[in-house]
Amino acid sequence: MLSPRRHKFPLALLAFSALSFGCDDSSEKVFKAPGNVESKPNATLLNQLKGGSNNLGAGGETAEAPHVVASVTYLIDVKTETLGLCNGEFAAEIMSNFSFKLPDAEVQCVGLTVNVAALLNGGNPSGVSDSGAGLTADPLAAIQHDGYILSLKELGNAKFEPARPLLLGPIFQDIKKFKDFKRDIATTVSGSDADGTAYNAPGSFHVEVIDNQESYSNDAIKDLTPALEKIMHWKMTATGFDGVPPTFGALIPSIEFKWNTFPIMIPYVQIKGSLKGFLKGDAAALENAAGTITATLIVKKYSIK
Amino acid sequence: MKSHPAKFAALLALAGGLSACGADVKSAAEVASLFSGDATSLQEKMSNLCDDLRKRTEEPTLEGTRLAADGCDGAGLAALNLNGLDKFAFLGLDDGKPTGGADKIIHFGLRAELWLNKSLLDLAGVVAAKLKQGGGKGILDQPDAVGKAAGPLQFKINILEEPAIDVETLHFGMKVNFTATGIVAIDNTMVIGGQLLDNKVAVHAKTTQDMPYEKSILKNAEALITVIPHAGDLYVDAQIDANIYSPLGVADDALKSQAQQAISGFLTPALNSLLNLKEGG
Repeated sequence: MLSPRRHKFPLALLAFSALSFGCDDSSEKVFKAPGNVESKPNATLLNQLKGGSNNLGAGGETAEAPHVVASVTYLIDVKTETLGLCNGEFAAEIMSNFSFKLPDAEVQCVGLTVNVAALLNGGNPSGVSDSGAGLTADPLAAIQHDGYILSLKELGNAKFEPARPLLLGPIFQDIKKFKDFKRDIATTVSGSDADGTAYNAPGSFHVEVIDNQESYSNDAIKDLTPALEKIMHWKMTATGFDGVPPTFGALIPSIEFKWNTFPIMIPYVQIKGSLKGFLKGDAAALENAAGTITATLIVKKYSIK
Repeated sequence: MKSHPAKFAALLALAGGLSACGADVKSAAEVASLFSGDATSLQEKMSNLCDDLRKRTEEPTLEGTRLAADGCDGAGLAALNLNGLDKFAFLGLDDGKPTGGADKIIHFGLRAELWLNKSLLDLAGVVAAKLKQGGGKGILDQPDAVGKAAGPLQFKINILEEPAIDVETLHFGMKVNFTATGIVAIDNTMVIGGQLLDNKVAVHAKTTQDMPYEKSILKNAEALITVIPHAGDLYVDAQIDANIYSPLGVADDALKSQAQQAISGFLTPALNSLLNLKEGG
């Protein structure tokens, strides 16, 4: 009779023989493979993403900087009660973020320099620089809009409660709804100017559409294509705001636009009022220009980039 | 009495013997598919889903789509994690369609890829809670960031056809009109169709007609959103094709880039609100 120790060996041999019968190289590969666990693909295209602000990896792109989409050359006539008429010319550019760039916008006029850029740009004389200075980097973030009027609560150092109207439109899609449009907006301006002078005064703006379906032409642009036949003619006046200079918060007494609605183009602007603060010159010239000034801009050249 | 080693050897011998005795066992090669080879990749899942959508005739379907032909390729190669993301970013899918033309149209072909960092169960819980809270309308809660009363743009969503969910076919359909007033006017009606297909969700939406500039700055749009469970996460692939009027009379890449920023700014809070993901679902 075999002892227990002696008969274990054949049994083990038999077992390993049986197992090895089912194992070969191909089987071994099965068990050494990583298995079918799902994994996420490598994100190799992150550097091609556009429009985001973070989490993009080193190559992520942000929005392109505002650029010029249209150039306009204006003729400007300046008429004072005492000095008569003088005129000049300046260039403006419409930027892709709907702002205006006024690179050369001072007009010499009988000893006076009229700061047209400041007149058209809310008291900020520099317009929009190449770096975007002069207007907020993101104009849409600071505005309110009710479908008719674009309003601002702050313009430079001036604060308005409620927001003051700045522009009708400026994107006019359904021009019919602007027919006979009129609105009065009472507000209060407050704040301090760069010299530290504080202001706080009530006033009001009146916005009115003169015609919602005009056309516009002049001798200089009579061959312009397309013709300017979708003009929104509108006007805004400011009253009250006693003791506050018009440069503080762009309190222009009267401004009138002829505004082509598609494509957007402004062929005519007329500004009227006591424009102290928008003029530079010697004391005598400024004294002579103390009354109402009318500045009229009409388009001379226009080109879309 | 036998020792334990002896018992083990006997068991091994018995097991080995069984394999030669006609028992119903499989060889390693026969069961290899359980262990080896590539797992189904995200791209395969995406391609299969797109194939299914092309074959369908009812929504969601890609029949007659304007979406870019390559929009089903490259799944996950530009995917961002939603956790920590404050703004979407897009891949361009221009597909050769021009920007410009007589109407000064800015054409967008965009694709956003996201890992939601959520499981399908988490997502189902969020959607179920939304449905319980506000019925079908609960799904379309307007994001605060774009729905506030004062600002450059105020959005409103009107449901024209109530959400219809077929629990047997797992199909979802509705019709909505969305408008915006403010610095621009938007007024478009969209049909939306969704379907659960082999554990994957596809939602297709498209505007019902081209709108004139006077009514809407958005001429037309189409979008396909797919949600695919993969690797323990949820992958969302959103493709958008849209044509927008340019009021400046210029339609170039820089304007397109800025409009893209605006779309990104809108979509991110919209999705966060829709899925309530920032609050942890």
